[in-house]
Amino acid sequence: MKRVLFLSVAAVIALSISCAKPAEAPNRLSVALFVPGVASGSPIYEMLVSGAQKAVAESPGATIKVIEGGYDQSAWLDKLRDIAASGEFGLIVSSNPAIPELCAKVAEDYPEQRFFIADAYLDGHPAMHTVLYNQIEQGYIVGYLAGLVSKAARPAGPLIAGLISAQRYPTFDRLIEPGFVAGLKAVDPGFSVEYREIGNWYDANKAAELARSLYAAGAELILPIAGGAGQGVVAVAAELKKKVVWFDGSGYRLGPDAVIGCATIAQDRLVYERLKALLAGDKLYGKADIVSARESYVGFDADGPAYKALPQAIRSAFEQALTELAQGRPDFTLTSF
Amino acid sequence: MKEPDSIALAPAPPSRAWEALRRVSLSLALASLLIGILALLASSDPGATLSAFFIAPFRSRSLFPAILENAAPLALAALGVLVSFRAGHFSLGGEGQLYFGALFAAFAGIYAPEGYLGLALALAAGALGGLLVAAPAAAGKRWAGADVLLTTFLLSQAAIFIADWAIAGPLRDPNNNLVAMAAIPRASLLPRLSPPTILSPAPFLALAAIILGWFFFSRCKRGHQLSIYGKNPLFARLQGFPVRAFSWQPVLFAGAAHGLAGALLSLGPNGTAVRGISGGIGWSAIGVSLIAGNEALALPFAALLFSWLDAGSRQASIVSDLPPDAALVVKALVIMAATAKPLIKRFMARRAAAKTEACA
Repeated sequence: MKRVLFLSVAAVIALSISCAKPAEAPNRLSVALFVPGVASGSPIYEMLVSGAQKAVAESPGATIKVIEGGYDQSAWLDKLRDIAASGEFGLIVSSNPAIPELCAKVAEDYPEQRFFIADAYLDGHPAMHTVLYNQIEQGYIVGYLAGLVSKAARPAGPLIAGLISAQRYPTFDRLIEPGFVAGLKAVDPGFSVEYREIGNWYDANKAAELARSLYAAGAELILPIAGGAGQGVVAVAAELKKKVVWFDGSGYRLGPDAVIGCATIAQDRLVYERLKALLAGDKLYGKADIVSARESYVGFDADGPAYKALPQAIRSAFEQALTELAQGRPDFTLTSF
Repeated sequence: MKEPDSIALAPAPPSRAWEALRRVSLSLALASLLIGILALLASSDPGATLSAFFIAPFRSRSLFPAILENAAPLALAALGVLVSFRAGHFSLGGEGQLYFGALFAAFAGIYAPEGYLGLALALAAGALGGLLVAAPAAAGKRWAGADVLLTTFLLSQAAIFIADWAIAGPLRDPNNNLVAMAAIPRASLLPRLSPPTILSPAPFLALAAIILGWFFFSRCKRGHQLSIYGKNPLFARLQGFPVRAFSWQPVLFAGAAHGLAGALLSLGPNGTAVRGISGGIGWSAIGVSLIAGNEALALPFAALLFSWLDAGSRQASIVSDLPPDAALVVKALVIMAATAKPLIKRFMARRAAAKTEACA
């Protein structure tokens, strides 16, 4: 038995040696797309993948490999380091505010490795190009709609909106929350925000509990910034006949009656444009950009049944606000982050 | 009385260390076979998958040192498991102890003076963190005879919740998008021995601890006594061994070893404690100790086997389409095989005895 086992192992090793490709220098056009999570079910990562695949398909000689990093943040550094160490990829593409710091650590050891990170900001790193969405504007968009709908539902007040996040992080603290509050207060300065934190990005049950408590506390509407856990908020909203505003992608299909509006980012377009430019040799490394509603990278998806069912007066007021935002009113210009 | 013409001597049983090494070799062979099968069944490019396991780690300048580095916390934690198991205490608290060790080490690393003093304090704090999680279980065993298996498991779970809360809450770096504590100053981290590899002195530290463990169990009277206590506490008590100390000290040692392993994680490439940094190492360490047959000299090899499986699996998911969790399946099957072996042996022996009886 043991002899058979050892002979089989020898065969496996011999096969692997015979199949091994000779070592080559990393190809500048070889792209590793690192998804810090799981692409399926996450609109922002699905857009990342589709945008990158389109750019690669249109760049002669370019190849792409999608690598999912899973939800365990503590494992991302090892995976990024392994991608660089494999020597197979000239460029690592990803999307998440936490990724640039990890890539900077990897870049110390692999200075030839290049990185393009969307939805993140790190200026001046010679091996990295990052692009951040102006998420104050995104927050403002859903805040304004939430304000209009809440005020119409409770004209006599109290004016309370709910905000649930998976966790606190700099982008949330400095951009999303202030934008949401600004949108609410643009409708009525008397609005207050009740905040709850889930603690992770996947616990839909806990998100549902927190949503229930917020609706019970008088919130007419909740904005979840919680990844997959946000589905728990939508489920409770549907059950209680309350409302939700969504972020980063279209969430109408999750709750056609509950989700009244979705602030969007044109992640697929951005990744497509920037990756294509990088593969064509554009010198974007070292630059960090912030894109906004003015260039239509931040916007709103109006194609949802609950949005279309809103009173015309609310939709008109909201669409007017959207138009003004695209023209820079109010002006949320960010020059750095 | 007539003396026999010759005395037939029974062959000497193989030494414990040799038997353990044989066991690790068999596990390696089994793992290799399973990888071959997985590559054929679960990958559309078996050649690339096999290469990721068998060629890439040894061809790349970075991967093999990374395997060594990642084996260090695993081996250290497995040493804790080994001491605990040899003493007859089935501690399942490694994961929480390790996580607490990482947390304490990061805290000390951030606030202690920068440099080697900070590093030493952080390592000590890591060991202390793990020890603190193990202490109630040790006290429960010493004074109330509480079941170590249950108490260590429950305490570990509590420790994981507390560490999660602390890292995501009061100790979190508000400027970091990762859920992590502030970065430990570079001068207080484990020094990198040969950049760009992540190799640090951690593997040498783990190896030194393991040699000390081997020396204790094979050369020291107290080590022999502890092993006997683990097999038969009543006999040990009748022999006058210090059974009271044996009832709690190994539990504490296991906690400290796990804590030190956690410290290596925070003081390594991560540079701080990230939420979830223990990453199942506390559980894997039990598998490592089982595969090593609870023999110290075989621990480094068993830890390397697990670390290699992890690295190979990550590489395979990068260069081919093998699912990244494939290594978990291989590890699980190897552990199952290692733990099932004594049962199979006993079953075969019984069958053989039954056959002999029937023939007679």
